[in-house]
Amino acid sequence: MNFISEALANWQVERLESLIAHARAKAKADKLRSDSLVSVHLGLADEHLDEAISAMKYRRFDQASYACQHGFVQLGLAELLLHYSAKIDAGIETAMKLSDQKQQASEEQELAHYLASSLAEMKVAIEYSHCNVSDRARTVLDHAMDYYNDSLNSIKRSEAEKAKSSAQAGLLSMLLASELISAENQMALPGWRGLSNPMLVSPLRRATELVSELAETRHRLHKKEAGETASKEELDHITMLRKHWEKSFNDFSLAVHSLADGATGHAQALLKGALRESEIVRDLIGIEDPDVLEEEFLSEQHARVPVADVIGAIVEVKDILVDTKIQRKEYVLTSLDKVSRCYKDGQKLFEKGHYDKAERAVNDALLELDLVRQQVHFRKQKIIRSNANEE
Amino acid sequence: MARLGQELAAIKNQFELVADSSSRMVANRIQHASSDYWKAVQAYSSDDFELAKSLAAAGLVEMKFIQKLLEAETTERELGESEFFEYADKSDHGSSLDRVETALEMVSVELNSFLGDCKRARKS
Repeated sequence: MNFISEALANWQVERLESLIAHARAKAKADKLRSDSLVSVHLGLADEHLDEAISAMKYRRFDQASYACQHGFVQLGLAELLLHYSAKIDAGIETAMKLSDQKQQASEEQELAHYLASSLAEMKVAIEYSHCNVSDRARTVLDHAMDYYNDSLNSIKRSEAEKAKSSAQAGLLSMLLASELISAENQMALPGWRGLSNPMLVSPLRRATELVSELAETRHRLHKKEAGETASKEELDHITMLRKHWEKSFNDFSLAVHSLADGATGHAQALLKGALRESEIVRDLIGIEDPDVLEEEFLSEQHARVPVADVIGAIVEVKDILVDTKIQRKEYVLTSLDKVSRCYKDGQKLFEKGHYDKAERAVNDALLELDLVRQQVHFRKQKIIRSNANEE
Repeated sequence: MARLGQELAAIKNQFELVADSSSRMVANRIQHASSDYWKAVQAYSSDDFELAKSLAAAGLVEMKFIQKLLEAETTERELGESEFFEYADKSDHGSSLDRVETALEMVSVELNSFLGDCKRARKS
């Protein structure tokens, strides 16, 4: 039995040695574009060969055989690379085309690819036109990028459904970003072909309608804000419009987030809420009757208008931190939850007119926030120091 | 996987020529794609063909994206402007923490504004 193992290992070592030499000679003769990668694979095959030879010396034939098998894998990859490169360099691209036809991309891969193309097209359009990209539109674009990364990671983990829904969420974000940028700059983005048929890739009904309305009403709202408003009624009107618009936008963002998580039913419900808010904005933009306005405003007089979307920002921070190496991560995430909770409590208390208690809740939120900021700052300094050392 | 390797090698060669004037996002994505390629090779050599196939599939999507980004930057460079629009990238830890800091700053601004409102409302 030992004799058979020895003979097999011997044959494998000799065969691997000769095939590596043959592949090296071919790579050298062809001087191919991908020769650097071929060399890396051949180098790894060489390492496995050395390991096998060393194992043979100690008569560990099984180990030698195992090392040879790994060597053959690396050699196989090197030969495949040589084969493809030779075909392409000789101008015969049919091999690749045939390979494409045989390996048709799955639906999630096509969607991820479509999203990637849209992201690249948007980049060209923005760079070429030098248009203004507001913080709001930028955040939406960054979310689209995040959804693309999520989709790619899901493909790596063979999670087809998750990959598909993330790509769909990314495409909806791209749609909103493009509409916002176009409305902000009052022009069609050059070179941006848009999303050919977003309904084909979005399972959310009336999503495109809402996106157009959000962009349109925001533009009209900005025009109102930029205009010469003097009376208190007009200012109150704008404040209320802004509040409803923010609510509609937040509901849409949450709907897209739910879609990415695969909760399509929940996403559709949120979208319905967003549409309702958007309709209120559209109707209010046309309202000129100060009595109706005053009535609505008085019913919400205790509600303050936030200057930033705290809950959205915290969700974003948590999403990023989950994938980041940071000390005491669990502690930081818990602190963020506490900031969010205290903030919401503060809002409720403020609306009820309990200003003392609201103030205490906000103070608690600020204390927790300081702790989180210290941890993030500490981690960032560490990365900067480490980068400086590498340089 | 061989096709991925071939495309990765071609993109790396293309990137080397413009590495000094390219965006951080492209450099970062090429680095990650390269790391994924070697993970796929590792999976393939460990007979984990499903993982190798998934990593290669994702890699091919990413290659097309990087190729388009490089083309976009070439256009901008040819126009002589090189003002690249960069997306924030979660996989770039330095850039991620910049985004976290910005978002936390926004939260801080709103909380302080809220605190001010509470104080004013209490006094009135």
